[in-house]
Amino acid sequence: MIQLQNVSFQYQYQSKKALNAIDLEISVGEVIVLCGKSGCGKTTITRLLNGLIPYYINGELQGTIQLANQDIQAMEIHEISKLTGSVFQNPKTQFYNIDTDSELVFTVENFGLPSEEILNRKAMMVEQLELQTLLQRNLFHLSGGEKQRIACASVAIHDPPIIILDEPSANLDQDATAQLGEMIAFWKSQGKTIIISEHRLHYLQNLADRFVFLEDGQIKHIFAQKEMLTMSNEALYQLGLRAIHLEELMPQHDRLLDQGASFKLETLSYSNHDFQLKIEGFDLPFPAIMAITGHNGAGKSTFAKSLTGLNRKASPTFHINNVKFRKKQCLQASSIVMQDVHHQLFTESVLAEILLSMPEPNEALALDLLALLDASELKDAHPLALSGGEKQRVAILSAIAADKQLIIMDEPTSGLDYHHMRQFANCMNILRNQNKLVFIITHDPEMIALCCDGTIELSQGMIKDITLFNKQRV
Amino acid sequence: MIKNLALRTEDFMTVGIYTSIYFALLFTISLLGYIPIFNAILPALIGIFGGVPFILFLAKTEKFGMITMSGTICGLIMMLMGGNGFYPLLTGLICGFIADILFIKLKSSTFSMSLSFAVFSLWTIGLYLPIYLHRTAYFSNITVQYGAEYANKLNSYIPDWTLFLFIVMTFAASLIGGLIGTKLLTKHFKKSGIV
Amino acid sequence: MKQRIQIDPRTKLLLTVTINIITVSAPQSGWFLYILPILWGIPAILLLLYQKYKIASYYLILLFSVTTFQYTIAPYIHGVLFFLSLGIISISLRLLPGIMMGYFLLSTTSISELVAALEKLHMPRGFIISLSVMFRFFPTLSYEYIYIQQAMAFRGLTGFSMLLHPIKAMEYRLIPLMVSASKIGNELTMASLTRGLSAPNNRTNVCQLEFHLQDFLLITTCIVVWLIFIWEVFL
Repeated sequence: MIQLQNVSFQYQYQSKKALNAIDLEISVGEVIVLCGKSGCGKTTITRLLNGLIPYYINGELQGTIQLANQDIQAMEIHEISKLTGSVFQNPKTQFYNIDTDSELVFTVENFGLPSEEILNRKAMMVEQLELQTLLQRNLFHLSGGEKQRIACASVAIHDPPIIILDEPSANLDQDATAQLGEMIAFWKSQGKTIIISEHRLHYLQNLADRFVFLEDGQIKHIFAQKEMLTMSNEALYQLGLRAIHLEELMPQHDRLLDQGASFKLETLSYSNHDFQLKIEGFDLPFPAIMAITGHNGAGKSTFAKSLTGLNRKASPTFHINNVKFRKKQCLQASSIVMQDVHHQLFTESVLAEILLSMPEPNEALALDLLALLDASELKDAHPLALSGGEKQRVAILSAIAADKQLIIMDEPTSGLDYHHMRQFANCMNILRNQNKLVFIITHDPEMIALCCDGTIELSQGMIKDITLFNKQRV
Repeated sequence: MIKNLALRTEDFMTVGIYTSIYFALLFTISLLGYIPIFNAILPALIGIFGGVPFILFLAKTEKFGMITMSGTICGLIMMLMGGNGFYPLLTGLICGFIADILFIKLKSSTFSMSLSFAVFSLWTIGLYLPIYLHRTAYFSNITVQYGAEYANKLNSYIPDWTLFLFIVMTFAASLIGGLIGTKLLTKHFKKSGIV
Repeated sequence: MKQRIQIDPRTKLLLTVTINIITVSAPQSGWFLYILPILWGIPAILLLLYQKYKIASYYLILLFSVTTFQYTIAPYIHGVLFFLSLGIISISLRLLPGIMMGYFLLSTTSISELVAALEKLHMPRGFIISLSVMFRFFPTLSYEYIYIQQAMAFRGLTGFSMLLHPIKAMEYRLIPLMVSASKIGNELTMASLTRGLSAPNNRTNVCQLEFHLQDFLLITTCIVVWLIFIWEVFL
């Protein structure tokens, strides 16, 4: 179905090849997972297959690529898109329309299919994928998982033989990821050829036929499904891949939580027209790294915003070491690292960014902080020019520099490979040593096991459970 | 060669995306226009602040037609939104077209970007043209309501030469806006490789 | 809730253009003494038809009160400043019918309908793409802006300190917004290309547009108004 022969590609402004002499053959109906560290070339392959390279993305391309026995370079991108359906990483940026119905039929409208056929296909999709509850809705108001389902339906409506997915589970929680897995299983049963570029392998372990492991733009090893299942988590980490056997993850118990210091939250409630939050007061050790978990819509984000006073109506009150903080003081005591880090990078150099956060600009201290997180050489770089992981470190540094005691992190490790996730966990350990209380909103069980001291699980706006991993006291 | 100059789907999308930023900014500023004092300096304000998004748009523009389309769309929406007659559409088209030619001919540079934006910005004058070009009709309405004395007084507050003042003010403010835009562009976008 | 009496988006477009141009350029004399009030009233009727009762009532109240004000109290008031402000309010109100019509157009037409109308009117494909992307982008921009505001709130960059440094305030708000918009725009373009947006064939639109009695009535009204306009103004 798909053949890549001696394919090499170099992006326009980069000095290194993204892909080097790739040879790969994919048969009809196969499910292939492309995996490897960030920058290994897996996304580049997906872009070659759906035609974005070379039509939209510039660079030097060598080799031949064949889709269904046709040379891809002889085809226009709209012809390629008849054969392929592409699902991207970020649900909210893939939609051309604002309402779900228009979005579902967008692709087939573009191809000029007659109205009646379009409506038939739409009805069929809705039934097969159980999308009834998602019709006639505003795309901006759907959850991440719901958006991704609509995305999947809308790229499959023209029945392409090949489906290409680029890190589709990056922004999804456990439930939505499972649903994505079901979607892929459904397509597999229809005989489609599926190529998925992914970090998270666990939900694909029983679906994929082969795992293609890439490193530095070359195929280092191809695992058959059985082979992959026998790999232990450690062996996967060696390759820079994420764990498959999630049930084996154990939180590390060797941290002793300081008994003396404490954080106490008083009862917190907040409601707006679509959500209600009711949190009973609780105590936590301080400093600590706490994970906030729960399904999509459980109120994690609302909780974080209410706790810190960003939602002014919430009127939060908490005590750190018996010092009371109320309302506005809560905001002044808190700092945030957002999911989309570039919402909070404003200046033209990393150093300036850190100095901006400081209550009193102190260059010597800023340089120390940079060294702390191993970011000294980034001092003069423009924050927006950095890689995702580096940007995140800058945001964390800003939060530390602001000298606030409470830090909220919103989904920091979605889409990170193993190495960067480990790096992040190290940052968290440093934060604990800096006497901070960190709340991490996350779906990432590996990261929780690596660096968190406990979890706060939310459900429907209320606390379902608070677990501290280490119950031992000094 | 000609094939490369034709506007493609992604170019049209670029026009839509960056014009939406410019227009959103324009719209926010124009809400101030309901306060009588600000009404007169709206085009200048739009010129100063609108430079930043528009310069980014220019940095992404390499083909002729994109700026014209941007101006036409802005003019069209202003016309449909109400209260301005069809002049915004006309000025949007004309100013967009001239700005387009200027930019493509002069090649990309700080000067050409700012100049192009200044010319483009003149389209906002279209919002005020009804007062000058339909003076009789405009003030006949007011005569009917308030009497000739008031109408004459108001008429004298807005003589024809103020239109010239408007144009100069908008052009100057937009040049400044363009320069601010190019400065920020270099500072942030060039350094970070987005452009 | 399905709208009982539908107005075709093409009719809405024609009405908007007509009302906007005529109310601004036509003198308040001759035939137009009678036509203008009709044009002022059409947006009100349409808004009521579409159950936008609140806006329709604000519009009508404003219209009536200023008109009454003019004929009763205004002749007795003096003072340049007061007159000036009254004049400005009144001029804006002359523009109100056009604004109301524009509001009606944009708030009661979905993007798909608008696109369908433009396609039926044979507008160039690229133009339609730019316009629809633009409208789709507006809500995105407002959401992104909210995130940026939140980030700024945490860093204490809001409020008075910002008024003292307007350029910095602008920089801190606009730059992340534009970076965000660039990124999103880029991803949106890629996704759209992989879904056949660049296909050269004729595009289908599932929105079925049909003219009904109300459309014919409104369109005829517009044509008549235009004919009278051309007659009176140019002949």
